[in-house]
Amino acid sequence: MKTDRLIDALAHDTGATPRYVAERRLAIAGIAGLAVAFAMVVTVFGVREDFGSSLTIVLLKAAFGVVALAAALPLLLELARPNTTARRAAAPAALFAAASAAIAMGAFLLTPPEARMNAWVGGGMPECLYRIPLLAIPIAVALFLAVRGLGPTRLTLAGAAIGGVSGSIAAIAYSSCCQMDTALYVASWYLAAILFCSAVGAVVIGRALKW
Amino acid sequence: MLRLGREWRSGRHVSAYEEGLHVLITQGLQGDTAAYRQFLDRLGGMFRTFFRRKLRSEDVAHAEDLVQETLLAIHLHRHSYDPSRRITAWVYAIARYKLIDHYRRSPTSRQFVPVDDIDDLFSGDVADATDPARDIAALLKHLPAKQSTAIRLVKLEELTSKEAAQRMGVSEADVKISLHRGLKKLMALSASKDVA
Repeated sequence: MKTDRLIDALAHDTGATPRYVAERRLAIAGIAGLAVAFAMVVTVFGVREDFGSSLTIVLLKAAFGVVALAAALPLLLELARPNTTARRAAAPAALFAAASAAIAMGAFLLTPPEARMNAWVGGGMPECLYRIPLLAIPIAVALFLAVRGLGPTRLTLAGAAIGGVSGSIAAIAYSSCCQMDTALYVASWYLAAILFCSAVGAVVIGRALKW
Repeated sequence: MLRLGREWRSGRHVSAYEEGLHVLITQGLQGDTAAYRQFLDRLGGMFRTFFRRKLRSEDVAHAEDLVQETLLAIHLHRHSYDPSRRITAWVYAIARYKLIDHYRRSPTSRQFVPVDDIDDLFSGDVADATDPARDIAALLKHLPAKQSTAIRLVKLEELTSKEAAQRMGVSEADVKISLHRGLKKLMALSASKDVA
């Protein structure tokens, strides 16, 4: 078939195309993912027992996730579609990671030395390191399905963005069952968990996105 | 917040070429078939130049295949174009994706893929279309009957989807879904080496 003929064929009977398809798909996937993650928190981990009396601190920790989400979202919106450069969109995410690391460092220095270890790792291994990535899986699957049809061209970066956004949304859900209330803990381990999601996303989702 | 990520068209210098294409795609996405046809036509010329420049001389026969694959991919992903961004960046991202994909598929022609400024590539040079090495029409026989019939009736025989639906005895929505799936499959087929 000659190219002219193909063009005729493609342009024939092509109706109007809806706008904001990418934004809408990502919003639906994100909200659905958040709902599933919340359901998992309630059924699998259980909301913390003192949820009522510790609402303020829970909301503060959820806010960390919200800010992380706001920082990672521009990158995902950019990389979800055919794209040549994402440098500008990466600025908020980089800024957030740096600020979070700085907060962790500051909190570490401000905590009295004898209380440090307890404030930092709690008892043993920080649970959020595996719980946030676990919660992020259904969110990442939903986002992957949303992004797949949008024609991403930087697949590894798009996978990392999906991972980062999933991790951020998972952190919002996780905050309602997390028992550790220090800034040191949240700024270091929540960030580490989100970055881990991002790294796994780059490898796993990045490959799966190929079209 | 979201603005940070966007390459806003306003306040930046945009070439006349970008401007022209942007008008065509915006009208095309609103349902103006003539503008959309003209848009694809211009892209065809742009990509022909682009692929001929990027492919090695022994590989140049594939240029027309890549032009067609890219046009098909652009058509299938047109809903993801955001009119507040540059259309040239968007379409060249797809063309480059197809080019890199082509290099990967043919290991003998592996070569450095320059990520240079696309602005250099604008050229009004619309060389004569050559025959593609793979015939998209011939690929239709690899599709499920319903999809290939839908494509044949609507896209090649130029019936409306309504007429095609009556002819096929299915609903109009059914025809549209078959069309979309069929074109997607066609894109996958035309990108695979095993099918002649």
